[in-house]
This record gives sequence, structure tokens and C-alpha cells, in this order.
Amino acid sequence: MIAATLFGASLGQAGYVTGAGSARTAHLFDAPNGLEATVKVPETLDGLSDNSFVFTLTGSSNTTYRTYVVAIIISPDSAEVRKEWNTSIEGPMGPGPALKPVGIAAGELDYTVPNVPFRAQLRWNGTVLDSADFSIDIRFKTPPADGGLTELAIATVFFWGIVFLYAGYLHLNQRKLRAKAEALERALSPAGEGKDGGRSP
Amino acid sequence: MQPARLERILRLKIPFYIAAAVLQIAGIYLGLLWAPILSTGFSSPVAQRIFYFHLGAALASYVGFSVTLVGSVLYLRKRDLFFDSLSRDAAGLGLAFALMVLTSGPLWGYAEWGTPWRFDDARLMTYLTLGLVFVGYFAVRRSAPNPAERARSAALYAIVGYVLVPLSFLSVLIFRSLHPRVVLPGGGGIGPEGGMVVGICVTAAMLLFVALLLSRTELTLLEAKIERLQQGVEA
Repeated sequence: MIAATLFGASLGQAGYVTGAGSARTAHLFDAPNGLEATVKVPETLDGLSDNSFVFTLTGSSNTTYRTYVVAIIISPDSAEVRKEWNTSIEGPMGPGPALKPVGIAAGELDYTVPNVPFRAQLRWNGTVLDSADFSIDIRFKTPPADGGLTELAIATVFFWGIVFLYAGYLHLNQRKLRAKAEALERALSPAGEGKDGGRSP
Repeated sequence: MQPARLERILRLKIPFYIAAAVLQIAGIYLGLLWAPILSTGFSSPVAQRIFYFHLGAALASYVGFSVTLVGSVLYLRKRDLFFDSLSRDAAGLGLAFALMVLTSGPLWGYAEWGTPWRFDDARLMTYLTLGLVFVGYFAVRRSAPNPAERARSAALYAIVGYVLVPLSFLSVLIFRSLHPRVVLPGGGGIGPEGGMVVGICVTAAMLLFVALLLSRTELTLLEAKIERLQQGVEA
């Protein structure tokens, strides 16, 4: 990432990612036109909610007006599950930023999978100018009506069940072994032999 | 270890049980009823409270496996079977706490993710592998013919297997995973009240671990005493 940060802008076709967690940001470039596109993509997406990815196009003094297409693609290299959301955005004339969101509606990502391949892409005139590849975790779960109270109750019972079972096992075994040790000590001691001798034939 | 010194240590069992019980009761009350519900970032905010016990149990299991490592190294250096017994007892206790982790975690996962387990998640799999490695530790013990050979092979196995402890602990930072980071860098955090409850629950789990380990050591000593007495009776 350091190399990408250092050389990305000058190489042109070298999108990269900075930040972590909810601050993770993809950077894409149209170097000949002096333009950078950024979009924040959190590491985890909640499939139950709407997800909006706002692309910000920032130009420079020599940036000329172009109509770009910005896209986010899930599983870009898998023909069976590939899914793309895109929109066209009018780039700035000069440095002024241009913003436009690409949205994924709630329920479209209806699965829970970690490390899903993800690509942010910048296109112009049918040509891919730059891409940044990384991965996201997708969570999709209808929240339980009780907020997970049932699971909490079961987990608590399991937790304390294991503690009490283990402590009970230790306690019962100690009692049993102590009794056995006392019996053996009695059998070994002269007084014990005397008592036992009195009862034996 | 000298018997008199060991006796003195074992007498600490009761204070440890009392302190663990007091903190556990406080932890149950605070964790289940008092701590604020974290609705941001969680679709099952009530189930999130499992975390307070889950983390303590996970750390206690790591401590258990660490004591196993220390006991194993000491056995190999001193050839004192007491350290072998200590390693075995700590490994068993570590597995008991690991069982708590491996039941509470999937229950939370089911509430939060809709699935109790993901076999492609590095964080979950490294911990499961760690647990299985220490199950294997007991299999190694059973396969050795005599106490010295058993202690030696188990110690070597534990030392090699311990590599998974730091790997599992750091896996949430090393690998991309659905498992939340919560209190680690990049995590969402749990606020000051949640942090206090975590502190209490983790301390309670550690005290409980020490109390149970002392009880288990006492039991091991009783077993050894009975073996000696039986030899005396037979002689």
C-alpha cells in the first residue's frame, strides 16, 4: 500500500486503498486528465440496510470536462455471482469536486460472507481508466424480534453449566478420594489395624 | 515443588473462589442488566451482551494453555512430574474455558450473522484448531506407555501446539474476518460502562480459572497420595 501511495498517482492505472474499518477509502485516477476519484467503502456492509457509496471526483487546474462512469462491483472475476452497480457522473471542469452516490438497495446483498472480492472502478468513454480491488464482509440477517435474548439466555446457561459441571466434578472427586485416602490411612495405621483386627475373624 | 509450599498455595483456593464468586455475580448483574445496549453496528443488540462472558472465557483459555506451556518447559528442564501434572490440569481447564467460547460464540453468531459458524473465517478457524490441538494433547498423553515418556511427549507436543495461541489471539488483526474487533485497534469500542463490565468479567474469569486450577491440583495431589497409600497397603 505504501508503494501504491507513493507511485499510484504517477502511474495512472493504479487504484489503491487507504484507511481501515469504516474509514477505508478507495482512490482511482484519470492521470492524463489530472483527476482523482475517491469513495469510502467500509470493511463490513449490512445487507439489510441501504448502502450508499459516494464517489468524489477532484480535478486539477488542467482537468477538462468529461462524463465518467463510476462503478462498484462485487465478485468481479466470477461470472456466476458478479454484480455491478454504476452511475454516470459529470466530472469537474478544473479542480472543483463533483459528487455522486452509487447505491445498493436493502436486501440486494442477502447473504453473510466474509472476504467478498470487491472492486471500485472509474470508466470513461467505454474504457476502464482505473480500478481498486479489495474485499468486504457482508452481513445479512433479519434481526431476531427479541434482539437476541434467547441466544443470550442459552449462552448464559451453557457458560454457567460448564463452570458448575467442572467445579462439581472436582468437588465430588475430592470427597470420594479423601474418603478413600482416609480409609487407606486407617488400614495402614496400627490403631486402624487394631480396630479392624477386632472385627476380623 | 516442596509440599509445604504447595500446601500454602493451595490454601489460597478459598479466597480465590470467594473473590471470583463476588466478581462473577457483579459481572452477571452488570453485563446482563446494567451495561448499555450497543445498537450501533449490531443487528442483535441484546445478544451482544454474550461478549462480556465470551471474552473472559477466551482469555482464561489462553492463560490455561500458557500455563501448560510453562509447565511443559519446566518439566523438560527439571524432570519433576509435578510440572507435568500442572500442564495437564491447566490444559484441561483451558479446554473447559474454550468450550465456553465455542458455545457462546456461535450462539452470538447465529443471532448476529444468521449463521453460527463460517468455515472460511480465519479468526473462528484458528481458535477451533487451537482447541482441537489441545484435545490432541490428551490423546498424546493416552498413547504413551509410561509416566516419564508420557510427560516428555506431551510437553514437546504442548510447546509446538502453543504456536497457535498467539496466532489465534492476533488473528483478528492479521486476517480479514467477520469476527468483530470491538476493543482492538480499528474496532467499534464499547464505551466506558461497557469497558468497566469487560474489566470485571475478565478479572472474574481469571480468578475463577486460578481457583479451579488450585482445586484441580489438589485433586491431583490426592490421587498421588492414594497411589502411594495403595502401594503401602499392597506391600
